[in-house]
Amino acid sequence: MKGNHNAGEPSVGFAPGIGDAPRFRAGFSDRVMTRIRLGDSRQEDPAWSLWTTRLFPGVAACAFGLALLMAGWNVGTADGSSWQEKLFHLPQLSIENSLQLQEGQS
Amino acid sequence: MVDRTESQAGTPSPAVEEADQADLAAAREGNMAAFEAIVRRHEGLVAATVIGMLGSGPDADDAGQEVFIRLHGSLHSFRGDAKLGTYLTRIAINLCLDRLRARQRGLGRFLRLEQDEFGDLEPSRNLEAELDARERARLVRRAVRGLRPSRRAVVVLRLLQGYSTLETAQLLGIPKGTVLSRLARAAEELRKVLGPLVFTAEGETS
Repeated sequence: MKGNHNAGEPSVGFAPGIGDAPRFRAGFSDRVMTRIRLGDSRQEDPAWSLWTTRLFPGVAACAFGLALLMAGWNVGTADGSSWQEKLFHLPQLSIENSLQLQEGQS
Repeated sequence: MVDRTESQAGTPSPAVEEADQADLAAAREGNMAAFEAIVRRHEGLVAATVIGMLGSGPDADDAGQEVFIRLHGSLHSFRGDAKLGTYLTRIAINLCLDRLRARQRGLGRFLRLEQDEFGDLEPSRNLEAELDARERARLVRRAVRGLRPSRRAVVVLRLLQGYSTLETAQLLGIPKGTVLSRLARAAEELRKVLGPLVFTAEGETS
């Protein structure tokens, strides 16, 4: 059985020969040494990693939020009312509108 | 530079340790031939870990290269508290777990690629008689890759690499009991597809 069996442990393993180690394809050490000699351009730069994983999504989210805000501002000013009024006084506006509608019907 | 035979997981010979120390000292002085000797001596050990975890292919080869590049980058900080083989295995296993997590965060999360490896492996009780040793080894490695990464790491280190439970726990930075419970669950999963290729008790097969 491949693997050490220690006293008091459940014995689990594979049939003989199963654990024979696989190998990298030929020339592995040459590939490693080439990358090291070239300075390993593929090695990840921590600063870049931070930018791509944390900062960029944050900046993108802020930009999207700002774009929405600006869109809201434009929509709000198109009919003469600000987006703040639309956002915070929407129920009142609705009641006013319905009262106006009722007056118009009567 | 000293070039000796490759070390075995968990139990490097004194000659290998001596060769490692000599080559590490030379590599710290900028001797690239000495570092290449280290790569040649331990590439089998690293291959067993990364291919066991990631499967054979370009990704495993790339991860294996990355392990030695990281060693090269930490030559001056590696003080030799641990055996070089153990140190490399620790780098390799963590690197593989990172890559598997990255795979899961990406496309694999939606397509469940890892679990699909089990897909065409039908449970069988007659596998041992039907398959030759090479085919059995391939089948086992494939089944191991179907395990979730945390269990796979335990199986690769404990069963394929031959590290002890304590060494496996130390390499993964988890308690010994966690190793044992993951091993038991992994064995249960493997037994469903591999049947008699998995031992469950001393001297007998399931």
